[in-house]
Amino acid sequence: MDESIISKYDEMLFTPGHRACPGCGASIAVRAILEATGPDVIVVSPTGCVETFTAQYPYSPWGVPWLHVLFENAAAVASGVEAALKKRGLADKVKVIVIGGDGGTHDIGLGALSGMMERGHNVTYICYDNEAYMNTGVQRSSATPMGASTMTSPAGTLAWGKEQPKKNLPAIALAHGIPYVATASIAFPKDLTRKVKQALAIKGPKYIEVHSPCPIGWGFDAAQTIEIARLAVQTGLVPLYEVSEDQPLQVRKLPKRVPVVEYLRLQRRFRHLFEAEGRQAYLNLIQAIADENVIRYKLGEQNSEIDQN
Amino acid sequence: MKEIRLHGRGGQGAVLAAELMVVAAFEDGKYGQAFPAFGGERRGAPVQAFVRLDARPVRVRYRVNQPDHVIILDRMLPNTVDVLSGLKPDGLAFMDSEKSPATLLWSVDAPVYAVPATRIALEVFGQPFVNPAMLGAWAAVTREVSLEAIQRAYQHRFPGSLGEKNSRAAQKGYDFIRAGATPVQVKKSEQTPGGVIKWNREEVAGVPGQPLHFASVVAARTSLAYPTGSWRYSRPVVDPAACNGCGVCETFCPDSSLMIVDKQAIVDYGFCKGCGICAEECARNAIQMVIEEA
Repeated sequence: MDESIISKYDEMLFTPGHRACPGCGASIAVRAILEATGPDVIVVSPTGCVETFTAQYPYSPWGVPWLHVLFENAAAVASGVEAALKKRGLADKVKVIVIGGDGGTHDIGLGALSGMMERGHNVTYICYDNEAYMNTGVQRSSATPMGASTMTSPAGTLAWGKEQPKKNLPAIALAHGIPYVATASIAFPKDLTRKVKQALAIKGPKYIEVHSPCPIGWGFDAAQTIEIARLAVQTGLVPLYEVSEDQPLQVRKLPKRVPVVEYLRLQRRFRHLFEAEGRQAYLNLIQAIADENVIRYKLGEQNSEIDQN
Repeated sequence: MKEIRLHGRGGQGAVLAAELMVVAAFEDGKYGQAFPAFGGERRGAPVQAFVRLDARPVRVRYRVNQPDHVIILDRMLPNTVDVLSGLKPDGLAFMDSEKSPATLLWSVDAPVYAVPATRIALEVFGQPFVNPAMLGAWAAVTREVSLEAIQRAYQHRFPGSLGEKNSRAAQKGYDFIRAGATPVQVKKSEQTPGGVIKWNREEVAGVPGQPLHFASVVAARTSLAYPTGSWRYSRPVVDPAACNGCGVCETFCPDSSLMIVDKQAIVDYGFCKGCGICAEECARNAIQMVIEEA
């Protein structure tokens, strides 16, 4: 090991030695999130990839207090942590965040998350969205996009992968009337870090969803993680935006849009859409989702005020 | 009873090889069991599988801590994993390698057979499926199961030409030993193999006096005692002249193992898993991925 590096590990909030697969998108997200929080934070994680690869007892990469709780109750436990901090007079000094996957957020933990948002706890809930249950062998979640083949939504001669569209959880969070909701991508880490900082500065429940590609589950080379994440944004399939009480809708504009096939064809989970005859209709359906996003989130207009870092 | 431990990396087939060893033993009328050690990790991570063979039914159900034989499917492993841990005094080891094992790190003195299983696999399959040749060599030395039984186990598992190829690779491993290959006597090295770190319980437990159980608090940053560099198949090499220290690689490193120090990217090869994101994202092409060779 290089001596000049070793000295840096003592200060690091997320050290190496964790067991994430090579090229893991979620661990890039965790690093960018902790860049924003700094050391005065308590992180709660439901079961999921991040929990599994950072909790091989007794090896922990966390340089901040971290709690692993059940799949379904991360938001409830974070609410309790926040209440305890209040009681002890530490609420202004210590931030509480959740870092959970899409399974623990969109599916299993949604009830507790809804309760946390409705009760108005001062917690920033961040979902790293890798669009399926990766750690257990790639089963579909409600965040899996339309057309993706997973273990439990396999493509075949009749089926073309998951038939339902991705659940729009940021919209569900917004419907709770919470003061801050944002989407982000690991391809734009400065934007992600800024959004987490922005959220932490606001009191009340906040929700941020971070698109985090998975080389194993999506089927692409580990070196391509960032490129895949970037393409997801550039096609319009993953709109990056934020909504807060002060600012109605801020979006990352797409001056030049990329057709969705450029993104889909690089991934094994969509390969069936290119191999069989008569699948053009499905590609058109997925392109229509991107087109709809452009209209709904006004991705195409040029009068942008957003930081393009 | 003979106890065998296989060491490989996720995706190399150690678990499959263990299973087929026992299927072969059944063919020969023996009893046996095979099971893997699971962790949360996946592709490239060191994995273990355990085998027990006996003339009588095998009743014990714990992992093999004192193996008679150790089979190592990857030459890179001994420097990071203590593959000979607990090896019995008259134990034997088998490793896929064309080079002498003498220069690697070992925790005990032991005879190690170096079997050119990768070369055999490339000849037979065109791909590095090393396990049939390793099992052929192991059978030739130990005679625990017959070569024919191993070949039948592969053919049963992979009907058709793939089974035929596996059978041929097993034969080649067997013939390599029969042609007079002898083991290399490796010596306990001064430096101990890394990987399985002997952590201090007092230091790791976060609350003094707290009993150690699954709910106990673990100290911060203990994973620094678990180097993941052995997962790597290729390494990023930085060209200092081309690197301007912009830090894009550092931001995108999933393993926090690449840092900018004095405007230069420095890789910690103790942890880098070799994903290649840094090389892919570097705008100045200052990082190249180079295949690892032990």
